[in-house]
Amino acid sequence: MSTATLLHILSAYLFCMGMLGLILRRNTIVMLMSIELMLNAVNLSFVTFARELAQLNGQVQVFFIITIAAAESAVGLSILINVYRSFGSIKTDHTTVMRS
Amino acid sequence: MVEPVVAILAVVVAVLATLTVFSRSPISSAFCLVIMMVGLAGIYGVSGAHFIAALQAIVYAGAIMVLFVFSIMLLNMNDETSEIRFKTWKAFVAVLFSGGLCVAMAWVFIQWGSETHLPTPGTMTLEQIRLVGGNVVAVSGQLFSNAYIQFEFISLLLLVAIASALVLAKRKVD
Repeated sequence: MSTATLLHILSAYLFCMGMLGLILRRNTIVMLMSIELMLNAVNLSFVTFARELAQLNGQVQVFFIITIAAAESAVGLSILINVYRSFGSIKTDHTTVMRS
Repeated sequence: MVEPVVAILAVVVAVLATLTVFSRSPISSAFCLVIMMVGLAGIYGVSGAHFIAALQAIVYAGAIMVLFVFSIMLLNMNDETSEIRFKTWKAFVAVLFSGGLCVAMAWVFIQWGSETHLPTPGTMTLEQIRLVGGNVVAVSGQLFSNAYIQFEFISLLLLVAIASALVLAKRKVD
């Protein structure tokens, strides 16, 4: 097994772990962390393919993905603070009403 | 042959990702995620993607995780009740589905990820990148020649994200 194959398997594992966390956990902040985990898995896959194919386009895409992840977490956490202000909790069990 | 450093880092990253998802308190999951991101930065550095490694350490392990830890402390979540219910059919289906997806993706990568099935490699091998002047020079050359329109749109997106985070945080809840 080559290093690239090991890293591809690691990226598949990280993606599935993030998906499992997104489905199983009920705490919204941990769900956001699981989304970050999935984005990291995709980044790892991009970097490994970029090295394997001797190209740099994958690394440029990873740059964009990291920027989008930063924007996503900033907006997501500010939404989360608003949810906490109106419901007093950020568990998905408690936030069941959409109207104010 | 697998490089030993990469193998050790991969095991550490996999264990820490599992702990991130399954640990009870959000603060310990955040710290596991920080160490996992530093480990991933190490993997990127060993793989020759030095610019991405630095970016991972600065943006992810620095900025994003500080934001997460800050919000956890701001929201004061200290109830460590076990919130994952493993005995429900939904959890069973979730574990089955993601385990199956993981096995399927690993199988695809082992079966078709070798050199014979991939398209012909490009010209930017590690030696070529060294001749150009290093990974940072090569990546920024690509970034500002082929992908400059995307770069401008990304800066616009960051501006929109800053504005929307400000508006959302300042809004009065009635």
